[in-house]
Amino acid sequence: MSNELSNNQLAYVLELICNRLQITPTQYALAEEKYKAVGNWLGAEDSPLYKYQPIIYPQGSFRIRTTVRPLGREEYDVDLVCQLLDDASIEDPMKLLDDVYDRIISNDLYKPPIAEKKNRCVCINYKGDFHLDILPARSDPQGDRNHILVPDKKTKEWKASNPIGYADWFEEKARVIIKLLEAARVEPLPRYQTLSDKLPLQQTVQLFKRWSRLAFKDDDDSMPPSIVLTTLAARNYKKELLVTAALSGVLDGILLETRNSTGPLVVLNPTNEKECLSEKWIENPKRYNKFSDALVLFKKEWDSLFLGGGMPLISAKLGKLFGEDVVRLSVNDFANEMQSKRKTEVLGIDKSGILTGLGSAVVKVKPNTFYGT
Amino acid sequence: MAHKYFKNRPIALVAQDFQIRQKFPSFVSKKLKETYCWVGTLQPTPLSSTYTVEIDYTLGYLPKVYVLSPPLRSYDEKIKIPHIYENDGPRPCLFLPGNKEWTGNKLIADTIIPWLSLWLFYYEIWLSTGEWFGEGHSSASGKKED
Repeated sequence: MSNELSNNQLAYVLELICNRLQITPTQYALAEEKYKAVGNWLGAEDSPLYKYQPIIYPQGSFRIRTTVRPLGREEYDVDLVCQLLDDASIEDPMKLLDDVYDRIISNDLYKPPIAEKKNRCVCINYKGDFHLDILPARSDPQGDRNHILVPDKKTKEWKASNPIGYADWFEEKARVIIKLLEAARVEPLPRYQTLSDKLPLQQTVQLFKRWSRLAFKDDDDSMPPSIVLTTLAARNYKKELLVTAALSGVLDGILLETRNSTGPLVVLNPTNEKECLSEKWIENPKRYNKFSDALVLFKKEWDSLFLGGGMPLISAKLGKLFGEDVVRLSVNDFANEMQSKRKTEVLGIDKSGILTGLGSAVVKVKPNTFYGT
Repeated sequence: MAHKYFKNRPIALVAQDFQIRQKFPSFVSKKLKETYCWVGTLQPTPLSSTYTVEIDYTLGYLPKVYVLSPPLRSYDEKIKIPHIYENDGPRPCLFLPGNKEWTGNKLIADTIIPWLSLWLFYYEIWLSTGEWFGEGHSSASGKKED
């Protein structure tokens, strides 16, 4: 098996998996429309919050475009910040949460149980599509406009945060030269068409997160937080151009970090070095040990994908790593794509029998009807 | 009417043989009386297995196609592989007989071999997900039960 060709083909199937994992463009547009409407409601002239000039914006995976369909439910999490710009008089984080919640549910559209108050955010549920998780925030007097204070889950006090700064850091890590990316995307990978197409690091994070959620699905306590996985992936990414090479490189990099570390890995927030994102591991190193053991296994299973063995074997391995359902849908997408090329008569075959575009073909595939009893 | 005469005349076996071996270099041929037999390898996609296949063809008859290795199988013994002839097989059914998709004045290299590779592609997808995406005639495509 030619390595370059099979790597490209594997990258293509992985991209189909990423497409199936992420929030659809329709849901994305709908989420945007909905959270803007909530923002308008919070900041309307007759709103008690009007004087604070609330603004609402996305944070987390929705902002950096690494959403992953959750296991066992349909709704994606869309994380939002409701930041009050003119906030000199706001002292109590829980009071702010109450004020935001009260204003939201004063609109019939968001009457409970559609909206519900959580530990430190207000959640608005759009059944079958997504949850909007709205985290109230005020500006941090010790930083610039992107530095905010948000309620802390445990202490119920203010805690420093910088979701825009984090997203900027991630985008910088993910950025690749588009011309190089396009040059690397040979058949069967589609052209990199718009900036809304995913970059290799974004796809890598999606797959990494999906793997982790499956690997720890029966052990919620040990599941590494998404932001830890995202940060580890981004800091080990070396601008590889295909998701195959990118995830391989990221796994190698993290494994090297774990081998060089005597205790649990310390993952600091790149925008706030005082914040340790991997607190969960430091508190209980058993959780970290489970992660590093699982990671070794992941690497082994991931590497075995490159050994070939035919689509049935590769699909089974992919299913084990990223979920049988999503892999079945993606493999079917792959077949549908082939079928549509065949129907539009742009499918050829090369001298080894490989189905391909007409460019490298020796023969064009003519229409036929599979028959049989 | 020489033109019409040539148009309806089947392509000579030596011409079929030349075209197959030129376009698909892994294929070798053997001649047994009036029958040609070609054996070669096909790999439908870079992630697929490489299949050794055999095509037997006698002028005036339909070409017969066999998958020698790895042998065709089902993911479940109770479920039949779609689009095959059981008789003297299992053999992939690549075209609708009598539909002019295949006639003796078409090249095997341009029809049977690409269709076989395509069939093998859909077969591997079917083994993976239980669904046949190649469409086709008959209701033979079994769907994998969840």
